[in-house]
Amino acid sequence: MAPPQRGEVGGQGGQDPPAGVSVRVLLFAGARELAGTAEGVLTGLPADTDEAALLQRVTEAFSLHAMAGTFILALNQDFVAAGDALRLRDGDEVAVIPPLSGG
Amino acid sequence: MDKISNLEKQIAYLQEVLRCKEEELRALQANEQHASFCSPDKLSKDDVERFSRQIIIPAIGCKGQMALKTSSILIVGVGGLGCPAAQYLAGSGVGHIGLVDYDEVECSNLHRQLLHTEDSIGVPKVTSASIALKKLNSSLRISEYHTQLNSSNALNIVQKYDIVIDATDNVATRYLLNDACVLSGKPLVSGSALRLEGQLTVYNYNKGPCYRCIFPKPPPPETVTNCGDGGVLGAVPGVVGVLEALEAIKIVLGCSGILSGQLLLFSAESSAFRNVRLRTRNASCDVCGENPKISHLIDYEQFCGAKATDKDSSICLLREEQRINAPALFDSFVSKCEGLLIDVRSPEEFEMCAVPRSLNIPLKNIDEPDSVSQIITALQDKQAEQNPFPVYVVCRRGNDSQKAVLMLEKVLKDQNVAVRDLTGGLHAWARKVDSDFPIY
Ligand SMILES: [Zn+2]
Repeated sequence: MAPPQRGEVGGQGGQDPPAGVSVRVLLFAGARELAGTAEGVLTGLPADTDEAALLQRVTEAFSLHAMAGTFILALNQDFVAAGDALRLRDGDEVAVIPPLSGG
Repeated sequence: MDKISNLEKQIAYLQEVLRCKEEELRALQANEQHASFCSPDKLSKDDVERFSRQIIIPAIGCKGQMALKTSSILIVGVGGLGCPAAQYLAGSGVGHIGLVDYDEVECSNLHRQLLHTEDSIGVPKVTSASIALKKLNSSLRISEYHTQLNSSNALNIVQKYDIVIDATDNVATRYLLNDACVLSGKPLVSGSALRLEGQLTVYNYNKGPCYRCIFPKPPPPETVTNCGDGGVLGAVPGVVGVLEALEAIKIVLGCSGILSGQLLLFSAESSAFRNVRLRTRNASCDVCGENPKISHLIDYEQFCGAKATDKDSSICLLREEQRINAPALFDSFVSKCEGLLIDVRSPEEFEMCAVPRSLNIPLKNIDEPDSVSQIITALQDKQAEQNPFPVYVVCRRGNDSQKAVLMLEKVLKDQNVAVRDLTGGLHAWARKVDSDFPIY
């Protein structure tokens, strides 16, 4: 388990720091079909993490192996590039976006 | 019956005559207009009267309207996205529109491809759209390409236009169009839609990323759903297609705020737009990077492992004795009341139309314990009749039913059953034994 993170300035002062961060995951297009859900929550994530670790957690939690490498991740509506270091906060929104090709 | 088909023939003939006359009239009118307002760098009286509502917007003005008049935009795909895009571009006064589509109008297109009418079923989509657009704006120049865009014709076509709109329905053509636009330096307005969601972005614009920068690897074909299988609510590509036209118009006008390096996600379900910031151009992109590997168009069907259409191709997973044709199935299941018929389509499709007495178990649930016990219960009621007991499987076109046979053979291996699927699916059923059964 990740060590508890230090509360940040302006964070939830006074409360016990949680054991990890939980983020809201939104699944779009084919990812929604594959996962069988449009939305989910990931808990116990380390606040300081990186793209590879987040991608792995998301892929496993939502059974996205079949489309590995063909979708993008966005953190709070911002593209997550390969190798990015990430700082997660409770309630962050992670979007799983495969391309949609119909028309 | 004869009377109906006679009338239909007469009407088709008269429509063709009418179309020729209208074309003749338009050509004459256009000539006349040219004679009185021949200045190419000024708006005509007609232009001012027609476009005043948008010219008086400061961001457009006469300069913007002239820019639209002299612009050329290529729309690839004249379907759910291409129709609304073309309609708004024609309305806005774009001078030249190119339309590419290999396909003909089908009845199942009409709910979302609103340039096409009941009269145009069977007519090439480019022809049908061209007729409708000219009615909207007779001074519009339209180039029709009734052909499948491919690696040998794409550059030639794309080069003739200022901006390209991707309104296609398949992955392979999307990569083809991206590469063609990068190689010929054209901005690509890219939209897509399925079910209740849509996506929109502009690629290869002003040093922004291209499709390959964002999605370097095509999705595995089995994770891609087309509109025929997944469905699409007509107004959804309507929204996205209109937004595609809007982005193209903004590019012509030189507006800032172009949707480059951003992906707009539209959810009809929650009436929400999400704007996701994308990456910048990828220096190691295969086509637009610093050392591109792709310097000419490649084989995109091979690259994507999928056909460049949204039509399903048939697969062949079974031996001949694992299949049954429609008349034989009718004889056994309907006439002689033999066997069990499992329909593996979605519940929505099953509700639309189904063979009486068939049992609906969607393919994706077929090997779940509940489904298996449901089948076994159904078998127990009748199984004594025949040895081995026939289990028939149907789907829409005869692909999913083959997968289902293989799965059922495994989960029913302890039962004394012979599992077979209907070759050609319910399409074959409708054509060969029940003409009242809808083909969709
Ligand atoms: Zn690129």
